[in-house]
Amino acid sequence: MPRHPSELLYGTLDVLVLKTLTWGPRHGYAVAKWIEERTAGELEIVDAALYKALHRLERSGAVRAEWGLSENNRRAKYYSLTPRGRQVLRAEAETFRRFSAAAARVLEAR
Amino acid sequence: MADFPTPRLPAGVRRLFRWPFRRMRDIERDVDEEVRFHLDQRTEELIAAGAPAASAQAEARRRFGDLEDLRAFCRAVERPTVIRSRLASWLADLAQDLRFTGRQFRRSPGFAAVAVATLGLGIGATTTIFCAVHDILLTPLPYRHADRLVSIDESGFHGKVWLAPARGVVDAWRSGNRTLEGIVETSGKQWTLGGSGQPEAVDGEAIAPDVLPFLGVSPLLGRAFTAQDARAGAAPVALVAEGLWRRRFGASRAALGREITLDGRPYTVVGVMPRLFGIGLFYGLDGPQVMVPLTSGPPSDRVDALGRLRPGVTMDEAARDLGAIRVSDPGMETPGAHLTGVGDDFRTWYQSTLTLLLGAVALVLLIACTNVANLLVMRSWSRMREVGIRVAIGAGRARLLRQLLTESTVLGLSGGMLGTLMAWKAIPVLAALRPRSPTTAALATVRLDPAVLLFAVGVALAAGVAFGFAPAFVAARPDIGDVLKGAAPAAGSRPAARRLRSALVIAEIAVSVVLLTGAGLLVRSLLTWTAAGQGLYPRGLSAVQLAFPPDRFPSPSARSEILARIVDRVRGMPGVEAATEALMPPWGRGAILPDLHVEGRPQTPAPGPGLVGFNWVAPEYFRIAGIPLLAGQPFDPDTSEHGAVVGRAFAARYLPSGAWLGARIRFGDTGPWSTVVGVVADPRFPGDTGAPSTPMVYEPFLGNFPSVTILVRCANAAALLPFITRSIMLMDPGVHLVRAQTVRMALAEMWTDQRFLMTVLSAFAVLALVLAAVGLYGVVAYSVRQRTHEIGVRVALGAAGPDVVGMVLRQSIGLALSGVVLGLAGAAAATRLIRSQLYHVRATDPLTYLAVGGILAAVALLASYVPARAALRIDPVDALRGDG
Repeated sequence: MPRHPSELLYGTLDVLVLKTLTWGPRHGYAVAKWIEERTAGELEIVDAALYKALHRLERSGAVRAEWGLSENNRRAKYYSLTPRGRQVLRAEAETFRRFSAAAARVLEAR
Repeated sequence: MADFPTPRLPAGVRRLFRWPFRRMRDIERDVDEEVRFHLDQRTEELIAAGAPAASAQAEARRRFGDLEDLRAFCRAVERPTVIRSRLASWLADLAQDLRFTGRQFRRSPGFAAVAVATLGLGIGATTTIFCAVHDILLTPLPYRHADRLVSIDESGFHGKVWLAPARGVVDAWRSGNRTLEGIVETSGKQWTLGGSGQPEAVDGEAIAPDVLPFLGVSPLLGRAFTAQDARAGAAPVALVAEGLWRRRFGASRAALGREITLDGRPYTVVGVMPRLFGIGLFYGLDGPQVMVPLTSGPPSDRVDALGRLRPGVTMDEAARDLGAIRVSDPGMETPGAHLTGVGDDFRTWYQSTLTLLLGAVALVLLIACTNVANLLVMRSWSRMREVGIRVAIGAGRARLLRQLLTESTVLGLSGGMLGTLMAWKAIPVLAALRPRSPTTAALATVRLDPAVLLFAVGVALAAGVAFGFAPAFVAARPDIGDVLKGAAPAAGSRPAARRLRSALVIAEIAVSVVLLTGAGLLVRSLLTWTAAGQGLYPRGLSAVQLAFPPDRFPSPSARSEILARIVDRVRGMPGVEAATEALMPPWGRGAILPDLHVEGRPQTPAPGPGLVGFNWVAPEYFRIAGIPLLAGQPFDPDTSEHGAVVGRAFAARYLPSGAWLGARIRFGDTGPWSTVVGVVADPRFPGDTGAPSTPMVYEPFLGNFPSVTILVRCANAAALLPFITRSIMLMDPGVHLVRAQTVRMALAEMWTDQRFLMTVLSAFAVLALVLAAVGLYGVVAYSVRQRTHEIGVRVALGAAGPDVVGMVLRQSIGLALSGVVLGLAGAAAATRLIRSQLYHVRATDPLTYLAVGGILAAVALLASYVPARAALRIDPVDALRGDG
């Protein structure tokens, strides 16, 4: 039974967004595109959810937003990782790795 | 620079001067722009991938999801930021305003000091009086369920007469009522306290043992009374009040177990009580000083009854309930019940004085605020240039107003702080005023508490806004063009500003006239009394009240004998012109409700409060006291006929008109008739103000009363009185001195509250006068400075000194006159409030009004004299050379 992606992603979307920004500032659309490409459409994320995550992260100080000009010369809001965001990402990634390793051990146990 | 256009700056420039802050609108706009960009990108991409434009757009929207939800989410997420930034900007503005205010005040410290001191005086006075109002009128008495405590009297003659209830009646009420939680009995006493130290007269109370638990009060030290203490034959014990304990026993624990004497009888002190104020109205806030157990007595004894209403029961319901209880009292056949709230009684006592003072002090505050407003108006005109520049570089009007209000609020609060400090210092000073009056006694217990501090802050803020608003409003609308031209801010020439300042000064003068008139009326009323006396000649008269304790003087003949010896001795003393005996001094009140019969007239169940005062006096009493005989003569001790002398009020009320002398009266159905042989004037005392005179009956002195008064007339009463009392004491140490006073002292004591009121009101009036004078001076001086140029021109054109002075004086006299006229009209309306405090002076006393008008005129002349002199010194050359 396919799950609703947001259900699966609710906690992890923030981590994905932060990860996306490790390569430099991007606007929201670029973040969405990046995640789509990386997950090869496996995770279809509703765009609104993505923006919520961005604004939430901005409030918590993990990302910073600034208006800038896009590739096609339009005003766009660029998000970039703050030092605090990097910290969060490291911690979250670590937790995730440990969790998936543990889960894998359980599932593969005979 | 003839036509310099008023600069209008583009909004963008103005915004540079503002703190950047984000509003909700900005946030929504950002979100929408961000989302639009996203949708456009997605649509373009889909079109590039080959989708038709219309369906690409739809698909982009579908993939975006719920836009409204996102906007709501962002609003929620950003709300704290918005609020914080708004607050930050507000605080930053405030900090800027405060810094600026500080700079302003540092630049003109004199102005700031005068303003703060003026406000401090006003707020300090107001806080002091409010403190008393709060403590006395607004705070409940410190008893359990004090709001339901009532004192209960018997009432008769359709509720027109009240009497302390008889014990039998109280017993019947106690067992038969359905509306009260309980009734307890007390009985007021006056004793001579002895034992250790000087004997003194004290107010006391005999209380049933259940009174203290009923009130919810327990002793500070020692124990309360037990039922045992009230039994007949129990060892006599007493409780002393805290005040007396501190004063007489040095607040020592050793007071417990000590012996005191009350009217010569020994009592052991078993406890120290907190003040029981409000119980027994006439003790004021001091309360009874000594308490003893109320022992049982015959049912006809009269006591004071205190009760507590059951929750939800009104006084009327309780009165009906008690009135329905059938019981007969020899004094009043079937008594009804009259209830008064204990707190109400107590408050009524202070209310008129305190509300009056509060009103007066509010006026003083008003003047103080007006003065500061006036200062601010003048100053804001001289700051026109600065304000104009700030407007020109983009300060908004609201922002400017805020700045000016910040200044006045800072002034107000500083004044408030100073005022609170003053109140804190002033209260003990007021409380220490002598002679002690009920109100000063009340002030002695007053404390600054949070409610009062809150009041002070409130007044300070309100004052700050009130006196800051008008000047701020004037100053915040400068004509920028004029200002930047460098033209002198021609304040004096602006009719609006001149009118405003003049109006303020007129208001100040008017208010101080009202206060002065009030104080003047009180002073005059006191002077009138002292000068004339009323139906009594106080000069050289003193009264020595003595008691003959029954254990030392058991028989009437022993008492007659010692009294005759004492009076003879006093008469023989050097300096004494005359002495006579009476039961009570002229101001003593022994009024009862008599069963009065006048021969030949139907019995008179007196309509209205039918109390009649009695005194038993020797024939020469009237001559010695200086009570004028209006008709007939004093009783003749040699005739066998029973004679009586009556007061004018009695004669007018009860005797057949035109046939006062020879009328025969009798009290009770039996007993001898007395023939009226003389009619005398009714002495009036300060406490009587407003009320009709008590009908008086004087009967021949019997000679054997257990307590008597000796009236002595001598050249120098105050100096001689100690010798008289000492020689009496030396004759027989068994005689108790209850009280020895010159009549002047006694009258002064009766006047204490009026005197206190007069002192404080006079102080307020003088304060108001000074403030008004300063205000007037300020306005005139300022206008002379404004008109330096004009005056210079006039002098250059040949105006002489008197012309210049006349010009200046005309202005100030005009202001003063308008103020005085307005003020006198206001006084005529306002002094009606103190009518009850006035004696023999009408509230519209022309002499007082004239005097006040004169004083104001003199002060106004004085206040304008200095600026007028300054105008005289103006050198036309300097004046014309300067830019005016």
